[in-house]
Amino acid sequence: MSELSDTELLALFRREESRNYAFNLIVRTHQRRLYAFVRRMVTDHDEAQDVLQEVFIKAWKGLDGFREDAQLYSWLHRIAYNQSINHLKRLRRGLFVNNDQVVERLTADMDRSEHFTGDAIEKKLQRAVMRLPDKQRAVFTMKYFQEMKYTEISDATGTSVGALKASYHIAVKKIEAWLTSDQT
Amino acid sequence: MEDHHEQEELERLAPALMGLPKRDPFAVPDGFFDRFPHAVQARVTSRPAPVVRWLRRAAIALPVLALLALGAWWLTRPEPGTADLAVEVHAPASEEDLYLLAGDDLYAELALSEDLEAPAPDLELSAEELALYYELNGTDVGALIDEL
Repeated sequence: MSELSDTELLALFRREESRNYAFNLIVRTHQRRLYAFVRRMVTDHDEAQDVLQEVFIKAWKGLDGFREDAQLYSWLHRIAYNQSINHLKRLRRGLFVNNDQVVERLTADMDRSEHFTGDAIEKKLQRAVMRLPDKQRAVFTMKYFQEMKYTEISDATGTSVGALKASYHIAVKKIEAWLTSDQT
Repeated sequence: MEDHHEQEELERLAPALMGLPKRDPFAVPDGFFDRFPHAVQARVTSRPAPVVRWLRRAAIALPVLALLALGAWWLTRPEPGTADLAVEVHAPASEEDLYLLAGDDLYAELALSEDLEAPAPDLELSAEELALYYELNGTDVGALIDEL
């Protein structure tokens, strides 16, 4: 993990001779949290890896224009959020299926995956999360699993804090209902 | 303080969810996070420079544009021979043109015609009218019948 501040990292990135070094540090600093978010969104490891690569490629292209109005972390999260939502949209378009069928596919992938180590209740929780609409799932993941502040989530999603609170409360109620139901 | 109140409300609202231990069940292959930065670096540095990318796009776009232009020309081109007819229809011939094309005799006849746009005379003549016409012109009707 880099001990450098965002400003120092960006200064290094803007110098041609240290550009690659700075970018490598940025990837190493943020990859785990961003991966965790993307993986919760798309479930499958290979798909999460592809999406995350696209996130950093977009970051590479956009870093010169990054004005530090927001934290680098929030800015990267915004890219990850957009890429994940777009990936799920493409998935639906490509399969010509409805949301339930996509959830079924993702659930089947999760059941088969050697990279899912959760127990029965965690599997049930993840299934419930997958049934949420995409944007609500993103908000729930950022708040519940990643414990981000509403202001950070607002920066990442471009949604007001009030709307985010309402969305999170609705998501929590839905998941509680699914968790306590007899459905697996 | 606000967060504390919200947490209390969520625990009341969703005791099962809020009581779950938070653990990340999603594993990654061994060494994934060591290799990943290199994979990303390889992808961004292997991307061609913008000028090269534009040249590649142009290399694809130009033949496509040329084909489209050819197709547009093919669809809108005049049928063979139509162009000449169009010229004949749309370009009124001058008297000089007619003279050159038709020769002296036709030009002379046209020049003698006083009013080309006047309605043609009614040529349906009765037998009496024809006889009167030939008589006035001094035509020998008997010789004309023999000749026919």
